[in-house]
Amino acid sequence: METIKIAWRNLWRNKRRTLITSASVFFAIFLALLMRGFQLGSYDLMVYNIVHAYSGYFQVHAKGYWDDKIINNSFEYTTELQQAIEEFPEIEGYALRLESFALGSFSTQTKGVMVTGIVPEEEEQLTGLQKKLVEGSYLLPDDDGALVSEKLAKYLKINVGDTLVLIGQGYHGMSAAGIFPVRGIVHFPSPDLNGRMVYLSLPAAQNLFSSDNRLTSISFNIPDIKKYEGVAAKLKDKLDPHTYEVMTWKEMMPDVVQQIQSDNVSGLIMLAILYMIVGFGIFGTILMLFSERTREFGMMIAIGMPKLKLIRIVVTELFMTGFLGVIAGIVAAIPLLYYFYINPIPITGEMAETTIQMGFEPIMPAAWEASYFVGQSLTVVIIMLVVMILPIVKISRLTVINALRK
Amino acid sequence: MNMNKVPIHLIVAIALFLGIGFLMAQNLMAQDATEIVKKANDKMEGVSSEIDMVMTVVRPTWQRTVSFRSWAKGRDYSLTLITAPAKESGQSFLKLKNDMWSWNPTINRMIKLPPSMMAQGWMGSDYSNDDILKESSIIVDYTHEIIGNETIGEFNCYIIQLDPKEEAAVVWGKILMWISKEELYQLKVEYYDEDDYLVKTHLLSDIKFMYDRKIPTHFEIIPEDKPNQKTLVNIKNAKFDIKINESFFSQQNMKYPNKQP
Amino acid sequence: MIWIIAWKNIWRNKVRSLVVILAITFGLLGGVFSSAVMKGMAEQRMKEAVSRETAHLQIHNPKYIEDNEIKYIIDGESEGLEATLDSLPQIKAWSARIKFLAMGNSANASTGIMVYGVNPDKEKQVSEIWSMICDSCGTYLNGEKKNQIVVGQALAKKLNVKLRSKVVLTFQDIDGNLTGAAFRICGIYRTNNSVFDEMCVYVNNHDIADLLAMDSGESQEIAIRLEGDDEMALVQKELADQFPLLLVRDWKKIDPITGMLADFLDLYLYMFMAIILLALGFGIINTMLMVILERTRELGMLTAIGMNKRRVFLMIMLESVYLSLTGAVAGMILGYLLTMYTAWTGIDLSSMAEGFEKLGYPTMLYPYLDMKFFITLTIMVIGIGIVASIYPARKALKLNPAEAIRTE
Repeated sequence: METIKIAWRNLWRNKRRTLITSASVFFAIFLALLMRGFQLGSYDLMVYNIVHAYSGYFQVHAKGYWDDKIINNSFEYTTELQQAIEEFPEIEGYALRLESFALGSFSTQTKGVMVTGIVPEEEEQLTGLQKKLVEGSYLLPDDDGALVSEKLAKYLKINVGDTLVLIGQGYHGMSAAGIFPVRGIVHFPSPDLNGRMVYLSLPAAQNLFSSDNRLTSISFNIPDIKKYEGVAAKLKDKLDPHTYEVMTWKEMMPDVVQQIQSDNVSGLIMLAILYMIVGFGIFGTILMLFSERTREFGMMIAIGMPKLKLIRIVVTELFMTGFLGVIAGIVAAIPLLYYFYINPIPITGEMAETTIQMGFEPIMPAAWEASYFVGQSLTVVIIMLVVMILPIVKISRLTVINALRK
Repeated sequence: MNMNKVPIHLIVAIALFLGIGFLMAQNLMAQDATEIVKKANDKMEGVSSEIDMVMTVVRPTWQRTVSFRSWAKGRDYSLTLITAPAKESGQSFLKLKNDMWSWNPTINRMIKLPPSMMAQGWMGSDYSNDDILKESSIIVDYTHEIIGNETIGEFNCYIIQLDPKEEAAVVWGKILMWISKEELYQLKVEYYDEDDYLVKTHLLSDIKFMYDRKIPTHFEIIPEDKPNQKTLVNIKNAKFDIKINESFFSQQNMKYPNKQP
Repeated sequence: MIWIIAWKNIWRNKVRSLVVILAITFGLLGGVFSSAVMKGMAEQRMKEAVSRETAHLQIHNPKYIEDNEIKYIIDGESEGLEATLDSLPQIKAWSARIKFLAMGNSANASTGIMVYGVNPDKEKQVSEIWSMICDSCGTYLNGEKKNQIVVGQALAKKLNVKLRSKVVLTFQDIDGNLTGAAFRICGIYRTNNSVFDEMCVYVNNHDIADLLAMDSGESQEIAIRLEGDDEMALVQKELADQFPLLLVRDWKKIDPITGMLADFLDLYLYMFMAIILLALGFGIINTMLMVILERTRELGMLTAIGMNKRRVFLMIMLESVYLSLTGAVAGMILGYLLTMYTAWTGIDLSSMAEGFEKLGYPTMLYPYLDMKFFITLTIMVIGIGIVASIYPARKALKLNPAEAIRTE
């Protein structure tokens, strides 16, 4: 206790010195928080975009479907399955889908298309399909019409109100053939998707492909992002592994995971460089602090203070200084980060266009999570500790005479 | 006779004669092989034909049966009409030389099959659209050679090897055909890829008298790498060398279920 | 005089000065090296895209871009297009390509592919795919045999075929009739872009033109390789002016994701450098403030004996500049050496190969030093040294000499 009081008083004896020292810590934390905040923000955004583009956080398929995506690998949407899913309160929404390849045709034009039977409202919640509507209207749950992607509609020269013909093979080789009035046109930023997607209501698709009550996938949206892996694992345990497979988006798209990881690594390297610089800054400051007070220390030892006690006091001083710096840094960073979390920095110009083409929003958001505040603070504290070693060593080696001479 | 003095030119002449004779025999045999394959094929097709068939697609977990009637004239024209089950009936397929069209009454549309549909099995079977288009090519696109004999059931068969000609647009590395010597029934066909791996087998059996000839009426198409999976076809009725005009094979005609040529 | 004094002042407290210098050195080193690595990756990707995939410029019939049907052709002989291409000095080489989608079949599998019918001699000058065929993977197209085809390794794997295997192509000709032919693989190539390898195959254009019912001189795409990278805009304008009915695009428009790579990277790097400079700046301000604090007595003394304020200011600023200059030079040298060394040996990233190859990135990295960036950075570091010293220097000026002398 006494140590703390003395230390505290020492700090305020020379305000300027204290301020300068804690300022160096402040800058360290402030900049690190900002940089990492934007980095994490962009990774989170990437994951969000990928998940909400199509796959959801995790999916249930028939066993073997992901490796061989054919309609014969569909599964029945039994009441048991439905009940098993409903037992999880964390699951807010899930999109049922039946997907298969077919030939789309209108007048003289024919093209291979991907037909997806959806539950319109759930699909909108997961992927925002309705927002992509550029013409016409959205599908009703039991609609007998279709949504056609923009570029595909252009190629087929088909408009809202025209009738699209779909032909292909359904479940167990049954011929699939049907006609669907076009209800609306949807726009996908990715030119690839924009050229081949057709959406039908789930019942219409099931009828087309002779697959009543069957699905090719169920995609899950979990608002609490941290929890999805846990829920997926639990669901996996619940379901019969011979019949179903449960896969998280990471398992379905390992190459995307690698890309994000490599981005993350480069981010961490940058962070390390930053820390190195500020580490030096803190080091230098503390060094100067010590050389300035050498005489003072010599005096204290001369009048009888045990070295250990002196060390304790000095260490406490440094800790408190650092602490002040950390708090100040966090306090300064919080409003900025929060602001950019809510209002991400917009990307403009050509780069925005390319970003949109890749399917992402052209923004740079900051992340907003308690965990990484703690992480950065801890790192800075560790740096401080490391930096303190030298001065402590110096004190212990101090000889009174040399000190007083300074 | 003094052996030392057998005239050289006599030996040469005999050698030549034997050599040429041998070559001729080979040639004859090769010609024979081609002839055999051609005749066996013609037996199944005739100049023209009208055949009723039932096809069963067998898979590990399900089975499906489709009935159809097929008209053909030569190698270039064929028209197939699905007659059962009810959901599928009324569909028809037209092959004109190198192109294939499909007609579906539900949607009232004529679709020309694009390249991307060629590899798909016809009506979900193990017989692909491409196979259908390229049926006739076993005569023209391959060289034929008798390589042995084997007995299948009660029939003594030639084993004929078909090697694709260099420019032929076929994927097989080689085909082996078992054709019965006497009656020229095709009884077994094996399809190999270029590394000599067996990819699929056709088995023919159940010889019956149809219209004016005896032919195998039961076929099995068995893919090699997929266990418990095959396609079975049974001929119910057949008429051969009937009169059909080329005009019968038209897109118009695809739309009427009760056709007569 | 001041200049020498300032310099000597720095070395009075060796440890402290060294700490600051090291901070700057490592800051610069870190910045230079990480930017070199990222630029290296981007450069490689762009170079490969240009030399193997898109070339510098491409000419198409504008309808072809919308509809992708092979009937939208370019007639090379009309209006002297070929002659013009031959005459422009900036054009190193050009290749007219027949381009269409087909089904590629083997006995075991089939898949959709993009077929390029080319003149091998001309194509070799425009695209270096021919050099991506390993020694035991065959050879490029030569006119010798009929129906040769060159495929990517990823496609060979998908179709389960190898050198000298047969691949049957099925496609529609210009009138929409189904046609096809068998080709033999004469060579298998491999690039860093597995998506490209799975899609693109090359055949001799005279083997394919007849099948498509196309006339000689007709093509769907003309790819152009220029002598230098910077002449794209010039040539593009020239060609667009002379042939207004055709669409001439540079590779950045054809492959916008790769095209934007350079710009994206620059943005990223500038942000990073901004943060580093900020950190350095604060560090220097801090240090100099401490310096002032420590030397209050001395500074007071100097002012008292008559050194004018401007000189004091200059001295302090010089000290700061010297520190950052020393650090900058050291950082520059180290950064240069490290970059050059790794550029020679390369950095191996094969553990991340899968993800990288799907994007088209090489797994062996060669850092690339962008002179412009390098020099800009160094100047900015020095600039920070100057700017950061302003606040502490002004503080020094405000010292009251009488009080200052009495400070301990």
